[in-house]
Amino acid sequence: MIRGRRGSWLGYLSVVVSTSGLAACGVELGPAQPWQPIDQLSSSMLAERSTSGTVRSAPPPATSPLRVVTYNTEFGQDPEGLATAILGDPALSRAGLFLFQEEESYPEEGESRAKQLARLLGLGYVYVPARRKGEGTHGLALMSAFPIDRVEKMDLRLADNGVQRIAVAADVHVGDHTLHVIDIHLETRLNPRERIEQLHPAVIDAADQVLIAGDFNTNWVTWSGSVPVLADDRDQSPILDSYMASLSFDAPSAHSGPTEHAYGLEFKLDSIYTRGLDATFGGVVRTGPSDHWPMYIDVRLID
Amino acid sequence: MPRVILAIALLVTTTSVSAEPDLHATGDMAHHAIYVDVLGKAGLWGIGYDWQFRQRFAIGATASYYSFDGDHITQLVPYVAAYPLDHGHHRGFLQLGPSFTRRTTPSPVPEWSGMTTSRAGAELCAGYEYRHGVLVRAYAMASQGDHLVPWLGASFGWTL
Repeated sequence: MIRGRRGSWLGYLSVVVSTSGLAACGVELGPAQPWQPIDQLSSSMLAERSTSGTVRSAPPPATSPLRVVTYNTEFGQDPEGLATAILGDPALSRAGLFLFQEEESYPEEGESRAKQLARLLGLGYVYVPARRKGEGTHGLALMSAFPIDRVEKMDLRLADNGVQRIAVAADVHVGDHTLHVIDIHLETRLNPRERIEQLHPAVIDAADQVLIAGDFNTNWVTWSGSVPVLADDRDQSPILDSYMASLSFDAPSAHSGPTEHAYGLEFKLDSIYTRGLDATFGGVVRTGPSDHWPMYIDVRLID
Repeated sequence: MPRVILAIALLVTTTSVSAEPDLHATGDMAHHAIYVDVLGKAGLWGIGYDWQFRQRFAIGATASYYSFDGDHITQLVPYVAAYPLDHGHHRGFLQLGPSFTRRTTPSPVPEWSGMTTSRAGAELCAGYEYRHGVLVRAYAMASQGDHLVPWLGASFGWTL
């Protein structure tokens, strides 16, 4: 009797283990795409930017150092709340450049959420859609008191369990200096190797002096397709930091602590990388209506 | 996490001072258990053994090695277990112990050589156990490494 019962359990266990093995299938990524100037994008995904007249009305922020903020705005759904959080915080309000992720635009709202936020902050802006979402679009935005030009978009390798993600590169002209930046938002449900494969095309040919920041989605979950199958007590950010170090990038935000909160848990999803710059990590400011917190860094612009 | 550990310590202290028959005297519980752990404290899957040296206490360990999506993960999780609740072959259990993990991520790109990390953490499990010839456990767990992570796991095996 016992022997028979054990036999049935053996069969069950073999099914469980086999199923676990089958679940270990990776995510397929589509082909890499080139950088495209935003004035060459298709008409259905046109970028939007402010005219030269819409710049910050407040006194220009300090430029030595220049404070740079990265912030996932959770669909930009509360421009007033975002602006209040930024302008109400002494560390954020003196920033000269913002790299936003998850901005959106819907025709029924009259103007894009990026434009609403830029107007409230008194900044010039560029909004670059990544994909269609309902009747609108979802994408990234740069906002600055300083001129932004040479804006380019890269469609990142499309994960078969995800949605189209992009990187946006631009030059920001601060006085006599030009800061090259890349704003990026990676897929959520990727394991470390896939995350590096998605990141690779956007950073491999970056300028010698560059700041790269955004939502790298470096969660601590191991994914099988779209299914979370393992929880790790370490997130993926040290692996990305190691990869970026191989390209001579510094990771000043390596020890930033959590940058996102959800379901009572905290995650470090956002990072800032610099190369050829004199940069000092600022901090994560636990404020605002988004599920992410803004994070900032000070960059000393040198010749 | 320190509060959780304190609660466990209090629970263990409370149960240990209560009068309890020696496991050998009861005769209806096997001392040894071997099992396969799925999605729990040993990652994707692992093999475990524990020895119940008193009716309400056991020590054991789960070990695993597996490859997942290119990463190679080796993990060892020794633990002490307490059984504060029981009813026949059904019991509630708590397990607490350190975890040691070595993870190798091979590089998917030529400019990077990959990364291997070794680290230690702590794992606390609480759940249900059925033990009568076969062993079945279902549990919730919290893993404390760089941060606190909640998860679920199950074990299937035999008692000897």
